[in-house]
Amino acid sequence: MKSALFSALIMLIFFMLLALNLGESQLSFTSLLWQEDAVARMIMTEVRLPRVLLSVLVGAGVATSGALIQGLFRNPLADPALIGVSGGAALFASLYIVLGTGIGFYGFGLALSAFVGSLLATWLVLLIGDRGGRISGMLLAGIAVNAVSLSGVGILSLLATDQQLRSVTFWALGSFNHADWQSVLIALCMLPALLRILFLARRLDIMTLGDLEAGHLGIEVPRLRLEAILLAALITGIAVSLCGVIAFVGLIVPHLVRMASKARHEIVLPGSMIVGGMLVLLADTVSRQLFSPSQIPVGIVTALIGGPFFIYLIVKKDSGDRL
Amino acid sequence: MSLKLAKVSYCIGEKRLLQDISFEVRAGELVIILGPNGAGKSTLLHLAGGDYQPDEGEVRQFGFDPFVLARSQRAMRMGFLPQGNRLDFPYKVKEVVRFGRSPFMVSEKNNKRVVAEVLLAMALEELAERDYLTLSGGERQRVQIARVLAQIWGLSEGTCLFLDEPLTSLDLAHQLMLMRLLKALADRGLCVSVVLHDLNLAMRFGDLIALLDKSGELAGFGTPAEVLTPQAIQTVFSVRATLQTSKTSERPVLIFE
Repeated sequence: MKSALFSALIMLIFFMLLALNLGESQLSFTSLLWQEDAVARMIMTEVRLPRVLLSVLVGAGVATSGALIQGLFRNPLADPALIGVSGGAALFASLYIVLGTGIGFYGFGLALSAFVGSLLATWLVLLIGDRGGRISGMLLAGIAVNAVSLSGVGILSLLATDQQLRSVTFWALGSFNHADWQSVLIALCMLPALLRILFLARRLDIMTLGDLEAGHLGIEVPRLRLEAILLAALITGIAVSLCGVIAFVGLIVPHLVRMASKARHEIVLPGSMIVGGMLVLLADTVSRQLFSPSQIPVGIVTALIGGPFFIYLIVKKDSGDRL
Repeated sequence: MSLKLAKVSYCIGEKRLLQDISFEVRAGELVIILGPNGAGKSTLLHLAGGDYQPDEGEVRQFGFDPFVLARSQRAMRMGFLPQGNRLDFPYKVKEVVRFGRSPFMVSEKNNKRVVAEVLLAMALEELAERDYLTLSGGERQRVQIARVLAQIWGLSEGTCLFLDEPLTSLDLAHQLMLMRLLKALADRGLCVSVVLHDLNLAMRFGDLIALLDKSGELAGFGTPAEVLTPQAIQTVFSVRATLQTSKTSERPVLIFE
């Protein structure tokens, strides 16, 4: 299992180098190492490299928090986007763009605002979902919160100026067009949270047995749940603030890793991290290559692949009573 | 030294689920909780296990209030099998059983030995490498029981074991196997409480019977012969029953009309 993780990591690095080579102008990543000409080097270091790094970081973050949420809610079909967390983050990111651009500087303020939004949405979903007492209640609450958030984004886009509108649309669809070193820096703030999640692996295994069972096995369930939700909200908030909603990655990647490895969280979490980074990097590379020089938002690509895959998962789960 | 409930009552909103329940089970005894649907058997088990806090009265497991005890502490002195399996992830059978060892900081060698012993005891050794999700309902139930047994394996006096309808989906042979195993665990000094629906298994294996009626009161507590009388069964279950002596066991058998 450990060696599979290692080969996945090697593959990720290979794809990163490959992605650096692809683009409008014919350049090789070797130009990073020895200077050919200033423009080429500039495209490499200021455009492609941050974009590659950002897509890998965001993919790793979103996929890992997806795995975390799935373990926490004992549902292999849960996902930060599905339970309304991303919607909340997108709403608050739009709020910040349209109403609050004067406050603080753009990057960190936006990330913070998106984080608050994702936190609020998670809290709401938990509050409503717990009342129903079942996981289906929570997913339904997530759908409701998502719908309200999206209509909020809609209202905001009516109030927005043209410039703001473009930014809001960008959040709704998800894209890495604006990747630069500042966004990479903000994305790096996810790393402590990601590392912390890796330490929760054993307790997440136990949580999949059920809340009561986990309590019987010595886990302080309310505390663990609070911590996990804060971590997922933090990561989702940062990811959404940087590149909008990247649909389905948090759902599909952990599922793929689980299907391939049938493993416990000590493998599934780092596995999702690597495969998530790889998948978003590939999706972004496709989205900027396919109709080059014009680019389609990466969220569209992931949704196009993810939607059908999700339907396949639902159909495959023959016992429909579990959702 | 015992599991002790003193004047325990429990309500949800206005509804009183359990009323003034008192009994004591000593180390080494197997108590079987019986009663009609909705009588509060599971609630009673969760109260005794410290999952819920009683509205009145108190629960003591060997002197400790299990509701107040830190979860990590409670996990080292109590095993609990709730009703229904929620696990929906593709773990191997031996991994699920291994989860029962998680409260203990002992060597992996020790854990492996316990898991192997428990798998053997629950006749699961051939399924050890199987994906839990590919198992049948009865097999899953046995794996969950094995997980709980792994937790209390090797512990003796001062330990409580609670099982809520563990015989669900088990075939006849496995039902008897489990009841014998529970009896053996009680003989080892554990305090074992089990919710059952089969009155004859209760009659045969129980050291004590706690009989709940529809209103959530204790209709009887004592040895099977004392509690499981035709009159009590008529009152609590509205079923006419007669006792017959058994050729194979010293305890009588109930025949229902």
